[in-house]
Amino acid sequence: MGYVYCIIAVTAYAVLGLSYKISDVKKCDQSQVNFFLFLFAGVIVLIWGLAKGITSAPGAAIILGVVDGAIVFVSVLVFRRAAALGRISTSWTILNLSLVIPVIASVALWREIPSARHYAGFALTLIAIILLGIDAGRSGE
Amino acid sequence: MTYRRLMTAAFLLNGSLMVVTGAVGKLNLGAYIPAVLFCVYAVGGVIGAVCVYRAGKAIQPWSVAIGAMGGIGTAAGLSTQMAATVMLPGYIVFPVTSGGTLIVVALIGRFVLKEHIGPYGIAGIVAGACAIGLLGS
Repeated sequence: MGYVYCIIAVTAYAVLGLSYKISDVKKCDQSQVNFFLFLFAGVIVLIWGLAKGITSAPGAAIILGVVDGAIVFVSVLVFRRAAALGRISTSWTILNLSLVIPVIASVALWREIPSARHYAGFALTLIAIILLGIDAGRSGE
Repeated sequence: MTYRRLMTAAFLLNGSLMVVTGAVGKLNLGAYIPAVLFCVYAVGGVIGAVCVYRAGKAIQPWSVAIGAMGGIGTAAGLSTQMAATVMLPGYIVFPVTSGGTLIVVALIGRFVLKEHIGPYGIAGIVAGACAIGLLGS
């Protein structure tokens, strides 16, 4: 069942990724798309939270959520504009490579020791960004 | 703004977002993830509502449909990913879901949306999927 959930998660995230490009193809109003994305996601998460019996949260959780929310809003808006100018296949890859930032932050802020896998991941991230940069330059993005 | 500047900004913003999200676990607030996420979407929704109101345009059916698609995608992705971590170890779930999504989106971009990806782009996507797999494991 765990693998089924993984497949559903991959499909759901792919749907999210494609929604960026489709909104550009359909020439949608980006503010409206953004608003409805947050509205629908918020309703689903609210139902999920209530089903788990969560009706309150500590102040720190709320502050983190509010800060995250402001960053997410700007991030989604910026990525929508970028996806409109470039290809979703490579843009989505670059966006997901930002996973390297929290890994670096966990080393710097939380003093976690990176494993050999992490070092290999850092190197591959750099290689991927260089390759995607060359590809973007060749296709005139 | 150029594509490269926008992508750099999106990259840094998305990375910062994950740093803040990661703090939820570090501060032992994992039990409150739905509440944190609700705050995330509520703030985004309020800012979005203000933007829509100020623009004063009629609501487009396609915007509602695509917004719903994105909203359901993000919430369903997150909840099923978390459900998977209950049954499988994280070093399997995160690389499979993150790297898998990247490959699926690239394939759809190439074969459904007919995007041209050169050899450097293909190599970059494969390297990126491997990098995410290694970093997330």
